Amino acid sequence: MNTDLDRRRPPLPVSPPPERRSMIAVMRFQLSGYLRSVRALHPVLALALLLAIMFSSPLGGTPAEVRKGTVSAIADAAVLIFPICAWAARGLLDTEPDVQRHVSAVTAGRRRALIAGLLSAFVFSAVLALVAPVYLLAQAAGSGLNPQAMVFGATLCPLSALAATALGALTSRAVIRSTGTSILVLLGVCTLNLIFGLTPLRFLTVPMIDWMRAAGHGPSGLVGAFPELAARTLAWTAIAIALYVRLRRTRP
Amino acid sequence: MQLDQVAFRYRRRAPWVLRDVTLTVPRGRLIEVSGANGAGKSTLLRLLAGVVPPVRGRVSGRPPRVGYAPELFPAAQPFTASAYLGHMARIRGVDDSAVAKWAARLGFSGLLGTRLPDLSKGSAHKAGLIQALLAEPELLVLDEPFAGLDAETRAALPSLLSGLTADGTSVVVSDHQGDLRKLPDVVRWRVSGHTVTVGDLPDEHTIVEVTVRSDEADALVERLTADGYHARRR
Repeated sequence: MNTDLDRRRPPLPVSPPPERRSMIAVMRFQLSGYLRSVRALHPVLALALLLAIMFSSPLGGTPAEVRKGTVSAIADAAVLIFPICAWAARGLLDTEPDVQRHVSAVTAGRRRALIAGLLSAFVFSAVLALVAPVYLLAQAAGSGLNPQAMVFGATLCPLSALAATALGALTSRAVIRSTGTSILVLLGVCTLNLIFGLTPLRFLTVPMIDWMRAAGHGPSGLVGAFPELAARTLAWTAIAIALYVRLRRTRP
Repeated sequence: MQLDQVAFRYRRRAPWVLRDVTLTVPRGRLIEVSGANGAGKSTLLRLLAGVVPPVRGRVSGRPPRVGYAPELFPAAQPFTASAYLGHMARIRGVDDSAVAKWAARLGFSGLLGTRLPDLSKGSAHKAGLIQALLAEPELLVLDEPFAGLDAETRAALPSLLSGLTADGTSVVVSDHQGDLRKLPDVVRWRVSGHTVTVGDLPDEHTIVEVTVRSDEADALVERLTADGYHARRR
């Protein structure tokens, strides 16, 4: 009987190479430290508050109106979660005491510890970003929103979380020692991002104002503008992460 | 492992903490780093361990397995000692049994279930030493390892370190308290004047820096040497 069971048992998964195992181990260490601290509750509560306010008045009307309303609300959610995700990323990276960061850099390797920190911060932010639009996406699906607009809508919040992770990393304690200054920079970038988004300087920003404008035109507006907006967001993130990596060279 | 003309500072335009550091880390030797407070000992140890790369110059030949124990163990972490050391072991890719082995050797077994913030300073310091020793490092960098340790561990540590060097590990230790003075064959590095000199510098001696035209440097070194001074060109 045992033999039969053995025969049916699927092959054991191939264990990942040591480098990846070590990366996953660093991420588990960082995420578990963060989740055990009260810091993780701050962005979760902020998100709960945001969602409660956003959904206090339900969307209604014809299916076409619901489709337009939900797409627009998803873009709003992507903008509103940006500071929350940046805060979460900063909080996660700051949970590790400075000296532990030095120990982790030696234990895992400097580069691996740095990448693991960014990935852990993104994983947590991405969870928040995936939860935020769930209700809206369900409503959009119920109203017959086309699959492409659904996919783009569902991607908008994680894209926002990605750029927010880079901002959170740039304002983490390893880069900016003073808590007051780092919060000022974090909130300042969020605010300037919206102000510059209304001016010709919007090429410098995470294109949040443009997300909202495109989604304001309904599903077809979002679908048409999405590739360019996604590319601009990814470019902003890449530059911010490159700056973070550069600054971390002498800020262990 | 070799440091070539290494220089480091923490910010652009900040003063250099270390400059012109050229050193060879001998394999299987115990190296004692001394120097006044703020001379740059901890920075030198961080450069050796790979916490930071040099701003100028080159560090080459660092072995793959490095252990690093900081001067103050970061005890403000939401883990028990056992969970923390387990995480460190998994990051290293070593078996959890290494934690039990080193905890037993350092008299820490009874404290594995204690939360890190509840450990005494000396016990937290031991947790820092254990995580550094977990992966059988080929280079072990210890910043003030004797500080806060109980008398028993303090007495046992020099022979433990000698045992590691006998197995080929290079051990670099900054030590204020002179616990390594009694050991034979200790290489001594002295950090002063933003650089590192090899060997003991008796108290009645000091270092004088002279700036000279490149083409006159060798002649000056020869002249000073002929006059009985220890001079070298950087």
